[in-house]
Amino acid sequence: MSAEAERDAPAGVDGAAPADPWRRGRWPVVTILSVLLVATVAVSFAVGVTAYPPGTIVEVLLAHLTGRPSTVARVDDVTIWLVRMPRIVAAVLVGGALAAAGAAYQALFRNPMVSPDLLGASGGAGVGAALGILLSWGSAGVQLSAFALGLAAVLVTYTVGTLVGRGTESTLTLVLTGIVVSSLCSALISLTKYVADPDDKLPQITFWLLGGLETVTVRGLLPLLVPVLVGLVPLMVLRWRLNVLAFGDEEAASLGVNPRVVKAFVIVGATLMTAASVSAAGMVGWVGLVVPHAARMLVGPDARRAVPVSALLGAIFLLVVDDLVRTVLTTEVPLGILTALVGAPFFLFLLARGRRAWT
Amino acid sequence: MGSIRVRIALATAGAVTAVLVAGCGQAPGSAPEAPESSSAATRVVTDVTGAQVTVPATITRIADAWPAHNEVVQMLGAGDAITATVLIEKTAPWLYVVDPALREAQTVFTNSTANTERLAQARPDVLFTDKSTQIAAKTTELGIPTVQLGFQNYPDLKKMVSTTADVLGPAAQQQAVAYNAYLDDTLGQVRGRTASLPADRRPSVLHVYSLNPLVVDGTGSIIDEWITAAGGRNAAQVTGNVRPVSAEQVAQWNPDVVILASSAFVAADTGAQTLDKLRADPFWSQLPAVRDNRAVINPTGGWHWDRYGIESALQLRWAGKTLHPELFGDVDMLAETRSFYDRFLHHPLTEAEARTMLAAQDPQ
Repeated sequence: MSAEAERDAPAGVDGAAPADPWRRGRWPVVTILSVLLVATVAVSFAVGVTAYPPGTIVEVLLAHLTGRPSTVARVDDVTIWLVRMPRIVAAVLVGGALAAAGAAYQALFRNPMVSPDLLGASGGAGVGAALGILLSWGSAGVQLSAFALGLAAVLVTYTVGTLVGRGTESTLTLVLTGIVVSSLCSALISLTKYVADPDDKLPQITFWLLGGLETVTVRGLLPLLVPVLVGLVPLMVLRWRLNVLAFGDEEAASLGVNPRVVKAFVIVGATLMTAASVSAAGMVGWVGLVVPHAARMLVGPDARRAVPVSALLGAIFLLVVDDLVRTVLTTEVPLGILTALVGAPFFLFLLARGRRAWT
Repeated sequence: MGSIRVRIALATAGAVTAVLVAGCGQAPGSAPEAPESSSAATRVVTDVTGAQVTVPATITRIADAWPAHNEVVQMLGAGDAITATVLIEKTAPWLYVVDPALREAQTVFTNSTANTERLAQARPDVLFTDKSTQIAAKTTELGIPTVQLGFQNYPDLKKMVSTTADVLGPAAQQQAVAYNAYLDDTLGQVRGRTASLPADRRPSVLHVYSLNPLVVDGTGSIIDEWITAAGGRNAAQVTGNVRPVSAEQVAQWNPDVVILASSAFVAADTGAQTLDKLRADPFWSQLPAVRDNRAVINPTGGWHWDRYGIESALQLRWAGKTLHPELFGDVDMLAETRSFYDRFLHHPLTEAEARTMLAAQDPQ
């Protein structure tokens, strides 16, 4: 039912799309999406192998948050608090983070084909995770090494890009260096897969590369929450400056915005969010690419609205997809497969409907 | 004003998550500790990672995420307690014949994923898994005693069987002792007969895991271990399990014997049909081992005999007889297989069934 509402909203705004993309739409999109997100979260708690009434869910959540005793059976308590809660929170955080980072990057690099892994964050994180699994580190160690190498890959991209561009750090050299670093990372991942024991390590690496939220633990939420919130700050604070950057670096400078500083802060923020997401959920593709497009169709290219709307839409999108993962089959399809299966046709649909949204 | 709404919305979202996560600070599962299970007796076992796992003294519901291990549980007398598994009937048809209760078990795992919600709802008393630390960390949080297991060689295979038996109880422990003794006997017998073979009488053996792409098993694997014990040498000069190699390498190694695993069968072909295709293939037909009929099919039972499972005990004798018929003339693989299934898997086989297994065919 939430999916229906989701479809209705864009259609309504779209029909009345203003000629001037800078004008705000007539619909309070952020409010609608926030309500929709809360509704999706509520539904996600209720659906699954067993459907729970709202009373049981509220009782379990209150019991854990306030320490009140509850009368809910242990198996239901485990399902709601230890299975569903971490997945729902992680889906919201990861979906929101990837989509917000994608929206910021697409504005920053003035390119609609850009996703948050442009500068190598996902590739680096993938190498870190594969390496950690290969060396039999614990799950926390794998996550930490994914996060660290995700950051390191972007640092390499940025440094090399600046050096190759002879200090001018042009956007193009940065993007091209990102592509080089990303393919280098995927070669390294393939190498670890090649040397990994196919009966033992390889399935784990594959699992991680395809992404999934079923192994997110309650304790694992904090290492996800903190970098995502910290990374979101520069994106939200600087998002109006992203609009100014759209005119080009020189124009931005003449308008009193230092493009280098804005770029650096946005890259740091987006990288933090992406690396944390990837290290918690594995490689979940398409969210960071498709969702910002949908957001711009709703509210236009103004980054002031496109970034938060992307975050909300991304959270809803990933939550709905993960609910499908959880409920449709008795065995789970890796999340990254489903986001691609849903995301790719949706992207084509967006392309067919409204080129106007970007150009 | 839109921007104020944005801020309010984000602040609310942030606050809600923060509260949720703060709540997680309290030990998970601290609230309603149901009295139903906590009062029962428990025992502690040490798994392969060195973790001390507390399991209930009586195990009635088992989850098993390691394909080959389901057969171990069946051997140790608890096959009908498996309620959640990684298997589907197509991947191990013989095991479903041996342990029909598996048909009632839910498949909640794949090779790389776990449906944690269905697993939690199945309320297993214990979860056996191979070493996937990520999934183990999650299932442990769910309150499911998670025993991680794994082995790369025969000594560790025995340890894996004993650890499983320690979880399942005294009757299982007896059976584990019997199996481990049988494995030791077999190893001793087979190695004893082949020990004095000089190097030039040890045929080089290529164990083919897949034909297209061409994948073989190298040194440092249990495959290498049984080839050596049975009086052969591994032809593949690569290290590890399931290694991709080139046809050129195979031609250069020029194995004396080619053993085809059932995973190498082409599409829906039987082993015999695959062998026929091999003899007609421009490359393989030129290989002396194939040309002179020294290419054979590896038997497959409840689990692949040639890989990491308890039926490796049968593989040892079979490989010995295949490589050195003159040394193992007294070994009757049909009888050996039937007595193994009767004694260890609680399922007497007919002669026809045993024959089907030796030809690596699915049950009729």
